[in-house]
Amino acid sequence: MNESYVVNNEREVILNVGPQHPATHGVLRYVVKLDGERIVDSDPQVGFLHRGIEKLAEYMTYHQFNPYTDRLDYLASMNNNLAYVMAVEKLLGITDQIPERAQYIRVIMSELGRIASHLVWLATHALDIGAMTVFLYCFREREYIIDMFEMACGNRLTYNYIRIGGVARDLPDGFMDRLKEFVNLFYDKVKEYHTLLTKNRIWLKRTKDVGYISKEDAVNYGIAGPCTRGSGVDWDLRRDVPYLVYPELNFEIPVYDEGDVYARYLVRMDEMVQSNRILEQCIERIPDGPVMIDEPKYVWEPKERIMMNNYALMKHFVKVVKGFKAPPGEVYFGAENPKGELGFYIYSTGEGKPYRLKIRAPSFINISAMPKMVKGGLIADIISVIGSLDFVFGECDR
Amino acid sequence: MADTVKVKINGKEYEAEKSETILQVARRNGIYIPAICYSDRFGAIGACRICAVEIVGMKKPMLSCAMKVKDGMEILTDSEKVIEFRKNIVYEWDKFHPLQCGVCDKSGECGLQDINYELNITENPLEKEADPLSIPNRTIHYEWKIIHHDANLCIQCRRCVTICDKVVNFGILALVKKEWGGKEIDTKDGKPLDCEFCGQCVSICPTGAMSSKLFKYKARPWEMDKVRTTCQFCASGCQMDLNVKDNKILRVTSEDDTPNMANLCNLGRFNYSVVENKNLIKSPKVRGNNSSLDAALKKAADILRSHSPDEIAAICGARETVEDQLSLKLFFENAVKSNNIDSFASTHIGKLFSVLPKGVSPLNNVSDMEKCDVIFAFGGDVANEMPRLDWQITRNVKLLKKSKLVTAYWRDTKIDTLGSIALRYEPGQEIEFLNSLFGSLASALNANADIKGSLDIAEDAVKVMSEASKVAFVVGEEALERPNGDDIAKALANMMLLFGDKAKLYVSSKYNNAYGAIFSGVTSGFDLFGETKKSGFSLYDLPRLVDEGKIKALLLLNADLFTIFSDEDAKRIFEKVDAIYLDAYNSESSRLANVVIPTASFASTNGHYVNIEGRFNEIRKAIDSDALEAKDILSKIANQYGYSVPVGYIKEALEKQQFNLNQTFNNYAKVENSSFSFGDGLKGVVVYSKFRSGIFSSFGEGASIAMEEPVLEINPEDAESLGFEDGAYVNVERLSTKIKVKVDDKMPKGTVSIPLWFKGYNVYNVSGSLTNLFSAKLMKGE
Repeated sequence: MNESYVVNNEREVILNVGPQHPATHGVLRYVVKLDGERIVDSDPQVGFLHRGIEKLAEYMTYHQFNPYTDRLDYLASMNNNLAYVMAVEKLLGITDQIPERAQYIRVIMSELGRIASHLVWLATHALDIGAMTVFLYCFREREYIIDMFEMACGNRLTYNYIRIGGVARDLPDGFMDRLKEFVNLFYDKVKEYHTLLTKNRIWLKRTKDVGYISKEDAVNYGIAGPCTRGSGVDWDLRRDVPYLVYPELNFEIPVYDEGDVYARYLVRMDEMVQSNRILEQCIERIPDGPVMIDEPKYVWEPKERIMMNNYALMKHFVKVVKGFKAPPGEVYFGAENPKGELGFYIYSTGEGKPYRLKIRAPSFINISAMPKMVKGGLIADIISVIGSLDFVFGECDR
Repeated sequence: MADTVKVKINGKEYEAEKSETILQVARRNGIYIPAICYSDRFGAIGACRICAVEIVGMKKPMLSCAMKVKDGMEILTDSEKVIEFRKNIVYEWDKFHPLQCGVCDKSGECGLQDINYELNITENPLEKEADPLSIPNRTIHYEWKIIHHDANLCIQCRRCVTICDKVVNFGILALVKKEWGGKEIDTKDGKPLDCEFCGQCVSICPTGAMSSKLFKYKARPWEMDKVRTTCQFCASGCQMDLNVKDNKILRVTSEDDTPNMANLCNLGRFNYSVVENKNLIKSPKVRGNNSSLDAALKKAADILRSHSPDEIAAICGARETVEDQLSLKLFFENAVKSNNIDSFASTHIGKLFSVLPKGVSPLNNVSDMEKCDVIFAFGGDVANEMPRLDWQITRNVKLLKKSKLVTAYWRDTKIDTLGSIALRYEPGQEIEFLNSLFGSLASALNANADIKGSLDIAEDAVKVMSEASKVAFVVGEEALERPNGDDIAKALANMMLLFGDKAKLYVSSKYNNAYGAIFSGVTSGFDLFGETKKSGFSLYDLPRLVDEGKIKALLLLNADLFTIFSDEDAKRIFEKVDAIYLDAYNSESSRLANVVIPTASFASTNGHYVNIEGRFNEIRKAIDSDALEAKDILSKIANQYGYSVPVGYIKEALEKQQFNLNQTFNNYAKVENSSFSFGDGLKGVVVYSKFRSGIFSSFGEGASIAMEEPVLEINPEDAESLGFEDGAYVNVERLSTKIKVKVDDKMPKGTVSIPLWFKGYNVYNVSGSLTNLFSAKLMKGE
C-alpha cells in the first residue's frame, strides 16, 4: 500500500486498527483501506516497541546478552534462551559436549514453553473472536506450567534458565512429579478445548476460509512454524534440521493443507498434544548427570572453586569483565519456536563481544504476510488473522 | 622487490618486509600472538618469552618479538609445542603469585589474568612441589611517593625498567638482587623512588605490581566510564581518558592508539584532582561578595558599557577552548568594538609566529620528528617545558637511533644525557649565541648574509647541522620569554630561513591552548585563523596603559595576572581598573577582580584545544558542573549588548581547522646584541618546573606530592662560597618566602634558577613582570 494511504474514490476509507487496540496483541498499527466492509489494501506498521536489542548485543558479553533474549518473545522465554544459547554454542564448537541431562532438560523446558505459548495464543485468539471461557481454561493450565518454571529458576516470565554450556541449575526436587502430573492431565484438557471450539458454528464461521494463504505464498513470504504448516508445508526444524535429543524422540508434525485460520488453529491444537507426547518420553528417558559442561574457558565455574583456586579466580575476572573469547567466524542457528523459526546469526571477530548479532524473528516475518491474507476479506477477518498468526511484539520490533 | 620476503604463518602465505619481526607481521595480518613484555611504545625486550612461536626446522621455540622474518620461513603460532612452552612459563609466574585478584586494583585489566585465561590454565604442576611456607616475602614499597610497588605481584617482565629507560630516559628502575636470593624491581640505588613520577611504569605494568597510590582501592576498572579528552597542562595535546565514576575523576589512562602512544607525564596522569570542587570558584562574585549569576552578568555588561571601547581590553590565559576564544574575539570586535585583545601566547609563540620565515613548516606532527636527522634544541629545558617533546627526542636518539642531537642552552639538561653536541651560552646571551651560530652555519652553507657573533661554536655542531637533510628546531618557551624575546625570535628566524624547507619548527608551550590563541586571533599581532595584522594593544604595555589611565576596564578570560606579572603590578592593575574575571580555579585574581564569574573546568567542558601540531583536539565533558562554559557566559554578556555570538560561524571555522599563517619573513634581519645586566648579583633565571603548569596545577595531588615546594638550584661552588647547604632555606631579595636550596653540579657557575608557579610565592616579584632574568641576591635564612 502506498505510503500516503491515498484513497482512490469516494467509497474508500482509511482506517487505523491499533496501535492501541486489544486485539492487535501488542502495539501493531494496522492501516487498512476499506471499500465498505471489504479490505482493498492494508499495511502493517511495526516498530513501536523497538528497543535496539541487536545493537545492545554488540556492547555485551555473550553471557550478558542471555537475559535480553527473554525479552523477545516473552511468552516463550525458554525457547528464546535455547535458540540464542545454541547459536553461541555452535560458534564455540561445544554443541556436542552438552551433557545429555542438560539436553533433556532443555527439551522439557522448550516443549513446556511451546505449550504455554500456544495456550496464550488459544486463549487470546478465542477471546478476540468472542469465546470467553476458553481464555479462562487456557490460563488455568498455563499457570501450572509457569509454576513449574518458577520451581526450576525462580522466575515466572523471564527465565534466563538455559545458559551457555547447559542449564543454570539442576531441576529441583519434586519437579518431575509435577511434570508427570501435568502430562497426564493435559490430554484431557486439550479435549476440553476441542469441545468448546472445534465444531462450534460461530468459531467455524469466523475461521474457515478466512485469511487464506497458499503453500507457494507461504514459502515465498518466508513465514514459518505453525503458520506454514497450516498451508501444507511439511517443515519442522526439530525433525528436519534436528538439534538436542529430538532425533531420539517420537513425535509427529501436524500439517493441514487448507491454508486458512482454521487450519492454523488445528495445527497448533495438534502440536500441543505432540509436545505432551515428547514430554512423556522425556520423563522416561531423562538420565542423571551434570547439567553444565566442564569447560572453564567459557562457562562460570562454581563459586567454591573461584574462591579457593587462583586460576579459577583469574579466569573468572576475565570472563566477567571482558567476556570469553569466542573464535572468529559467523554462525546461524535456528530453533523451532512456538511462533516459527527463531534464528540467531552471530558474527564474531574473536573478541569477548559479538561484532554483530542479527535475530530472525518469526513474528516479524509472519506479520509481513498479513496483507496477502486479509485482502478482499471483511474487516472483522483482521482480528481472526491476527489471532491465527500469533505474533508478539517484543520479538517483532526487538 | 628485494626487501620483501614471503613467510608462511599457520599454513597461510604472507608478504613481509625484511626488517620486520615475526610478531609485527603476524599482528599486521590479524594473527594473534600473546605478548606480555612487548609494547609498541618501546619495542621488544625479550624477557617474558610468551610470544614464542614454532619455526619449522628449528628445535626450540623462537621469540617472535625479536626474530626477524626470513624468506620461506614457516611459522606456527599455536602448535602444541608452543602452547606447552608458554604454559610452562606461566606456571613459573603463577607459582608464587598471591591469590589476591579479589582485592587487587588490576583485576579485570590484568595481563596475567588474560594469559591464564587464554592458555586455559586450571592447575599448576609446579605448585605441588612448592611449599607455600617457603615462599620468601618480597618487598612492598609503601614508602615510595605516588607509586606503589608490590614485588609479590611482579612477574619480572621488565616493562617498567624498559619504559623508564628507553621512553622516559630516567632509568631509575632496575632488577636488583635481594637478600632472599632472587631479584626484584627496585630503584638502582635502593633509595626511595625519587623521579619524574610520570607513572609510565604504572601504565605499562601488566600486573598489579606497579600501581598508583592515588587510585588505590577507589574503584574497579570496569566500573568507570572512560572519557577521551585532551590534557590541559601543556600544548602537546596528549590524548587521555578520564576514568569517571559517580561524577568524580578517579584516574587518568591513555591508550596505545593515541598520537602520544599512551605516554603521559606526571601532570597529565596524576594531577586530575585539580578539578575537584574545593579548588574551583564556587559562586559568581561582585566586589568580593557572592551574587547571583544574573547580577554578575549584568554588572559585567554594565562595566563594559560604561567605558569607551578604547578603554576596554581583554586578555586570554591561553588555557580556554578555541570556541571560547573565538566567542571573545567576535564579541569584542563586533559588539564592544574594541581591538584591545591579547593572550598569554604573546609571551612566547606569538613572538616567533609573527616572524615566521618562508618555507619553514611551523606546525608539525611530533612523530614527524623521526624524519629529521638532526634535532636542534634551543633555549629551554624541554623535559620540563613539554615532556612529550623530550620523549620524542629520546625515541629518536635513544630508541630508534635516527637523529643526532644538538642542544643549545645555558646548562646541561636531561636530554644531554642522551649524548648530544652541547653548545652552551650564558643566560641573556641568546642573541649573541644565535648570531655566532648563524655566522658559522652561513659560511658552511655558503649563504650570503652579514651576521656574526663573537662566541666560539663547536665545529662538530656546525658540521652536523650544515649536513642535515631535515632539522627539527625545538625552541624552548623560556628563551622567547626573555626581555629581548622579540629579537631572539628574529635571530631564530634568521637561522630557520637559512635552512628553509629543511626546517621543522616545534615551539614548546606550557599553555595548553596557546596555539588556539594564535588561531583565534586573540593574540596581539594576529587576526582570525592566525593571519598577522598590525599589532596594537599588547600585554607588555598593560601596566603602563593602566597607569596612564588609557585602559579602564579589563575582561580576563582564564588570565590570572599573578602568573605573569609581579604582585605589585597585578595588584595595581586590579586597583585601577574594573576587572571582570572568568575562570574555573581559585586564584589571587579571583579574589581581587570586581566581577568574578566561575566557568566550567576543562573536565566539564566540550570544545577544542589546538596543540603544538596544529591539531584540533577535542575535549569532552566528563563530569557535571554547576558553572557554565566560558563561551556561554560570553554569549550571555553579549546578549546584554544585543549581540548574539555567531555560533554557526565558529562551528564552520572549527570544521575547516585551517591556519592561515603568514610567512613573510624572507630577508635576514640584522639583530643587534642586547645584553642583560645582572648587576652585582648572581645570574638568576626563572625556569619552568616539570610539575607545574599555572598556579592552579599546585592544587592537584599528583604534582604537589611529586614536588611539594620550589627549589633554588645552584652550583656547588657558589653554594660553598655563600655557605649554603643542600636543603637549607634561603632568602632571595624581593621574594616573599624562603626557598629551599638544591645544589646541582649541572648548574653553571654564577647562575641560579627559580621555578615558576608554586603556591604562595610569585617569582615575578624577583624578576619583574613578564621577564625571566634577574639579578639574584641571596641571603641566609634565619
